[in-house]
Amino acid sequence: MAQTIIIGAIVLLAAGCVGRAIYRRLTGKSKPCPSCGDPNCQFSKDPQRHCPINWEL
Amino acid sequence: MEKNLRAALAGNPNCGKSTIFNALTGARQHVGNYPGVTVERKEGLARHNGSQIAVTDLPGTYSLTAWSPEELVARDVLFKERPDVVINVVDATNIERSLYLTVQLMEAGAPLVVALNMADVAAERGMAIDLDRLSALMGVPMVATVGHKGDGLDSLLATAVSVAEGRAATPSRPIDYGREIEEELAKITAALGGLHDAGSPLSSRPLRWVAAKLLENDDEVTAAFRNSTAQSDGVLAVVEKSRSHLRRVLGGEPEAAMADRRYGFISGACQEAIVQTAEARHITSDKIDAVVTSRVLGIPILLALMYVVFYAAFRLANGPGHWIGMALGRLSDLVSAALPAGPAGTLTLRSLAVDGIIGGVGSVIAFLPNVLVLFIAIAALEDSGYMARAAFVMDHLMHKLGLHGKSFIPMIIGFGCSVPAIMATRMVEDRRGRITTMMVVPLMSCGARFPVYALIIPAFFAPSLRAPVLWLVYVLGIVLAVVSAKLLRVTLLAGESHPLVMELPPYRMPTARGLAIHAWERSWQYVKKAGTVILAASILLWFVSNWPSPPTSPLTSAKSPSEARSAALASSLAGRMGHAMEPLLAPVGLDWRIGTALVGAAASKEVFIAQAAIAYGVGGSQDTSKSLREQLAANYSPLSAVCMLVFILVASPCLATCAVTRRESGSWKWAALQWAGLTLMGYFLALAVFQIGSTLRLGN
Repeated sequence: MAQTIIIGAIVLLAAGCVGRAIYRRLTGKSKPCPSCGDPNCQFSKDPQRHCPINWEL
Repeated sequence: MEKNLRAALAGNPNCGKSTIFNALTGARQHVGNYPGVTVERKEGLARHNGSQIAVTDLPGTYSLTAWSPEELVARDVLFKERPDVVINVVDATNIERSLYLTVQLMEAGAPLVVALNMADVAAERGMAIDLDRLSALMGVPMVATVGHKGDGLDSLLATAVSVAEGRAATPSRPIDYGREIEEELAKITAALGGLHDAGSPLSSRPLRWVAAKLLENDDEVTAAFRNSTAQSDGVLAVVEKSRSHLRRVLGGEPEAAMADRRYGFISGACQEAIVQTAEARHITSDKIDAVVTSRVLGIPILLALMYVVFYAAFRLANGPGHWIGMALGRLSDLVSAALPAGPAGTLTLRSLAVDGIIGGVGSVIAFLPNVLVLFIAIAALEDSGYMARAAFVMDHLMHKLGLHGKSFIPMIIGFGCSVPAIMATRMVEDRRGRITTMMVVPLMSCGARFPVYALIIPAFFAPSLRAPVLWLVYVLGIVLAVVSAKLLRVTLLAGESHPLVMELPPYRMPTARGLAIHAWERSWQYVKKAGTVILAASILLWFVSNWPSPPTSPLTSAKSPSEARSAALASSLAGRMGHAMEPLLAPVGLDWRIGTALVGAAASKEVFIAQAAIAYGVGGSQDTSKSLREQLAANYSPLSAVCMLVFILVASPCLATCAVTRRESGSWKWAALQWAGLTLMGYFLALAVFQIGSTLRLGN
């Protein structure tokens, strides 16, 4: 029973994290650019390095 | 009514400036002195169609740095007297050197017209200059003149009057100083912020120009800024930090690197617009460019270099990848020993840790060495200056297809990640060209797809074929992107393309520190993603791959562990979803297990590996990636593997890509079209490959 509760909590937490990441990504509410830290980073020049692949869970 | 305009004549020493000045002003010039310096300047009057133009002849300078009194005088006129137009006399026979001043005048925000003087001598020396093209590339109106004959002077004055009256405004083309310098410039610009207001002595100068001059340690600007505000110390501290960072990363002074980029811009424009038929260029970069950007060898060299990169990514990463797999196998053993076992395929903490977390995240981490080698190689090509040549070489091809030359730059960025690549499409000025580029950027194999290829290819192909197959996948992506862009440009998004300066900075030996920084950033991002998104996704995927559990019966309990796992997966949510997709997957040679992995890959490509590992339960094996490859090889044919590669390359751009496409295009319509279009294209291509391959009995 304890095992089921722990697994349930972990899965719910993971689901919440993934859901939140997807929501933030789709609504553009992601945290500042992980490379330069600028919340208004426009990737205007050579943005190769600014890949925001981290969804900042 | 006669209009009074003020023009300044700028140019290198001995460029024919005085001849032009005399021809424009006749005998009306007089000699004057600037206060405080002993540099001579001349002034005179010219008339054109009812306009009286006071022409000031600036001292001859090669640049607008603050190293000589002449240069300071030129700056004073530009920023203090603010002429209505600056006529920049350029020596056509020394055009690349002369255009350096032009670029600096552009950066200073001067209303500019270029007089390309001595055009006749240049033609005699075998230079065919496409003036319209050069003008469009540089973003400055240009007029060919022959000063001593008076040729082109009427046209020059007419253009100068148009510029002075704001009728010949041209789009500004800021020089791209490259990633490292641009980032530091952005920091300085942000630090300058409100200090660059109307009360500041530097307020007449463009903010970006002031930031660039501070970064270049320009004496005059730095001193003026220091004296202008009490808060200058904070900004100058930012500048010093940026300079010292750039010195470490670039291995030299920032001003030298910035000058290189300006010359790169000029060199790119000249290569596009000038055909040198007689005079040979001798500098090393030109000698290399003569080969690597040649119309015959350019593309083969690009393809060969890509092949070398992929060969290295497999060859060098083999050992470390195996070690990581072994370490994860050990970790699995330890966790298995510490947690109690349960029936295979049931929800236990041990299964969550071993199959879900170690199997899912571990199988992604095992490809870290491949990703590392790939990004070091890409960084080396970028830092050496070769990537600019790759874009230049492709630019010719794109133009031949009637496409926008600028489009290939975001495509090259797409080798790293589609998200910044789609953002980089902002450099494409016309909207239709930009949307076209956005639509096709996901066809360039990104860093997230690479580990999936690195999983599948060694499972089905002999070592000697691995690099060629990977190379073919990347090339297929480029070809599909170019063909798709062409199709879009003649259908939904028809329109003309605009010219572009493809900057060709001089070749440079990449610094070890620069490569190390790139490698570290990329690896850290990869590990961070594995530890965050992929970890959470793996836990979820493990859950949906094991729940609900199959009904217990004497028959199921009698099965072997692998059969029990298979039964559990089949009865789970993921399994049911996979089975529902099977009618679509069977014609492309895939089954429901891979179907579940492809659903996961729709969110993020690496999840394909995690889900495949969970579906095949390789978390407890001694080497996760090796074991997963063995499972794939046992269950699918090489032809099916090719279909998997094609589908993963083309279909369903990840969620982040769709989101950024929506934001950049301003509409969900384009994001939906991109997703649906690419997914359908991927499916039908895989279908064609499988059906044709099966008919011809290839790779079954």
